[in-house]
Amino acid sequence: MIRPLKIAKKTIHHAILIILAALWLIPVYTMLIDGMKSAGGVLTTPILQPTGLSFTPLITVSSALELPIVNSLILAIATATISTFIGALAAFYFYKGRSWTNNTVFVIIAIATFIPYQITLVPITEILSTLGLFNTYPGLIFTFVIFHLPGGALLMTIFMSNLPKSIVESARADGASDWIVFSKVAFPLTLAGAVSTFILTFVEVWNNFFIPLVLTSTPNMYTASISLLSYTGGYGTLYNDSFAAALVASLIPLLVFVLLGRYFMRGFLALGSGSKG
Amino acid sequence: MTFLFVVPTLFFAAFLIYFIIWNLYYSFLDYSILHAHNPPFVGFGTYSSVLGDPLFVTAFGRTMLWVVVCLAVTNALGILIASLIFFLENGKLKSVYNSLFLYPISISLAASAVIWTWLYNPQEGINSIFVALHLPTFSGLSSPSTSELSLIIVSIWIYSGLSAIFYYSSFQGVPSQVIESARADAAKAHTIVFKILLPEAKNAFIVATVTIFLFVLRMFSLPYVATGLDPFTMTLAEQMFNYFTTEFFSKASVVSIIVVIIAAAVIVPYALFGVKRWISGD
Repeated sequence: MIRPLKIAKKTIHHAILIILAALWLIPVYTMLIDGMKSAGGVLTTPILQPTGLSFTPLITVSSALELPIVNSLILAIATATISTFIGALAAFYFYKGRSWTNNTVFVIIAIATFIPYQITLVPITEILSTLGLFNTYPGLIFTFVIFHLPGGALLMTIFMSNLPKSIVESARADGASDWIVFSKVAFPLTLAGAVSTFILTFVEVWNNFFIPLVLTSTPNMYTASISLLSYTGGYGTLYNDSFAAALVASLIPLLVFVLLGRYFMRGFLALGSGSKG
Repeated sequence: MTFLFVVPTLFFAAFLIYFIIWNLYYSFLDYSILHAHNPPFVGFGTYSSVLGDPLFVTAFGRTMLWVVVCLAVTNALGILIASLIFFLENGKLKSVYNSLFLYPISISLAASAVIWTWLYNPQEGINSIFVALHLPTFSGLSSPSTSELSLIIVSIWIYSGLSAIFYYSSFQGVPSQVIESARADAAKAHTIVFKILLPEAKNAFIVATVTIFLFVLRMFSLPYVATGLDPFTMTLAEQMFNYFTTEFFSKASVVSIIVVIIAAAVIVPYALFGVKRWISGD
């Protein structure tokens, strides 16, 4: 009597998950089937129905998005590297001692992590224009670092707080300087955390839309996400180009997520629950 | 001299503080296309003209409604998804499902906007199924009455997986003996969720709520890419941008200050609450 009931429950349990998962996958499904649909297919089938296979939209879009993707890569790698490294330095400071100043600085950084970046719209535009950095890589990287460094410092602090204090103290006892302890002991031991911080920052910068929208003015500085503005559709456009553009612009963050998802998730969990996962 | 290690971070954080002070200062002036040089001091004048602007008022109300609906649904779906995954037996399957619900957060809001704009297309999109089944169609982004709801749905798709992993990791912190003994007493799954798992998930609730609140508070590119600066979907961040592009800089600063105040009301207690968990644990 109990077994059939149990099997039925199990089936329902899996069925709900499968249905929810299928709903969640619709956008990625349409990116794949419609990003590779021929113009003829677009005219004869709706979005959810696959037909034929054509690489034309992907090829057209890729050549248009090539420069924006290179720009996104430059900005995301530079910002993630700087934020992770400088963040790790700050983490070492927090790791070393618990004091009143320590906690105050930490709270300031935690607050800076979560401030909505749009609020600096007017002043950042003015500053970068005055410095002649408007619409340049250094200007964009500088702005991104301002916003992502606090998060990097916060994440690295959480990861570094996992290191047993004894490891550092024993290095200390051997007379090593702070810099040696940091570069030879503390940083190498939090490398997995640094990877999480790097990846999270990389994906956030890659996907940021507002900052490049405001701080770039010529198409040669556009990033992958703002280039999508010209693929939103409208009268007379074919949807295969839109999906191909979304796919091309999302390919790198999606690959990072699929291949390094563990690090990605660990970053979010650390930031959230303080879980050291 | 360990303090030197935090100096580079403070250098950049100082800019952020400077920006906020800058906004505060300019919010009391009338710096706009009308007064580009030597903007006059107007006290709370710009504040009152912003607060009296119907576009701002609706953008504010809409953003708050968006926050409330998105938080309610992403928390509920997060609990549902996390519980469904938690009771799976296969560990590999658990992590596959966790990533599957989280993946939308790795895609840019701009890309999501492009995809969903087409999914909401009256003829080509999801409606094609409703038409084939002779069901009423959903007007999506094409009608002012459903455009905001359509965008809220997209944000729910994006953030539910994030809420789910916060709950899931809280659930995992519950000692397995507690759950096994409840099972031995033939407790039903929903009893375990409501009586054992959820009371332990207070942190997950706070974290999911604060994080998603801040994501929605700065919502910009999803409505901007999907509908442009449309008065029927405009958010606070878009309204700020709208003032900026029309060169009412002081008005943009006023919106910034309002956003900072709302964000700070949430972030400051959260950061103080976080300090204990983030770094004090040895």
